[in-house]
Amino acid sequence: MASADSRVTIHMAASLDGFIARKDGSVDWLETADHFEGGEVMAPEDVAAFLQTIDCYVMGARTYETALAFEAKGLGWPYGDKPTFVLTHRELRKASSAVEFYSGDLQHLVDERLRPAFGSIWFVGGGAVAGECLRRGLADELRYSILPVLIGDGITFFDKLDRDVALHLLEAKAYQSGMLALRYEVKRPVAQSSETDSSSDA
Amino acid sequence: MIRLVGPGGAGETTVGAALAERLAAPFFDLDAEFTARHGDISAYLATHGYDAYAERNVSVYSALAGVPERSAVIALSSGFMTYRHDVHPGYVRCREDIASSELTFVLLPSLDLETCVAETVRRQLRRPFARTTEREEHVIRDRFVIYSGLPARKVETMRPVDAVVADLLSILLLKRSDR
Repeated sequence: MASADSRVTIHMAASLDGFIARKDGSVDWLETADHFEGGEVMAPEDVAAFLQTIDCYVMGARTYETALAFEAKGLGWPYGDKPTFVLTHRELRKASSAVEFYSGDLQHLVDERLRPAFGSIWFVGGGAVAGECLRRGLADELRYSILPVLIGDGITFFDKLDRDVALHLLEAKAYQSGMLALRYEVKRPVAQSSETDSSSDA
Repeated sequence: MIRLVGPGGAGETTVGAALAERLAAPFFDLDAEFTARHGDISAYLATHGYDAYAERNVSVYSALAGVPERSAVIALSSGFMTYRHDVHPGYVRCREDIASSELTFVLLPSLDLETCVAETVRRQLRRPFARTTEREEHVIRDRFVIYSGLPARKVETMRPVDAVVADLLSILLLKRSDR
């Protein structure tokens, strides 16, 4: 069912010790900076223009709630008018008409609804969603931005992976801010089958 | 405070640092100041969105502009003059102050639109988040129109940095002797 040119990317920023948030969900540590003299510099407008090329976002309930909290602080809705699919069984406030709540099967969502309709599909957290996405073989690409900080404990980037996931490094860039951005292609072990649904299959 | 603005890829940071050195004045690069306070800009944009970034960037600028350092040089972010007007309560006022100040310089590769577009696209395409040439051109054209429409003095930068700095110094010197 997958459209040939659709691409599922998992992107998250994490601490060097692999956490995407503290235990309580806070991400204050994202705002730590270093200065790496040899690093690349990005113009904010170029990054913003790049983010514009994303066609839709997928996230878990806690990541969504973090975005709602930013909005409540007067910072605006981070994902603009881009279609945003929130995986949840709970009743949550809708940040905009572009937000849709989904409680069904993730593979069905990706293969039947997202891939046929969108080119660039971005999973932006959290760890449980990223883990499930990889476990079910739904991701094409992994972007891991490592910030120069250790936070000791928290929510891990890839929750409950029950098998190895082989990756092919596409790009590694170090930025002047001290951030290290890694981009990987997810290697597919076997030809895609639409019926491998049970969670322990690999 | 001497402010350098421009559509990006016009050498604001390089020229700003060199000018500050000649003036023995402090130099601030707004993008670097943002990063020092709020971390990596791309991580901030990815998690908070552009408007939140613009709002914070106006706050960072305001804090720097409040420092009574008359001869400091500041290079503004390339999009700074193009934010949505309601992005920060102080933005319209602050933008007007920058646009009309005789200590603001608009750095453009060239005053000729076509030369400017070609040169800026050439430089931007080497950057890590480069778009396609057509998209890049479209963005540059729009921004060039905004920046060349500002009342502040325009300075061409498609020449050696020393020559640009010498130009800026002579303009500043003239302004000083006017008084």
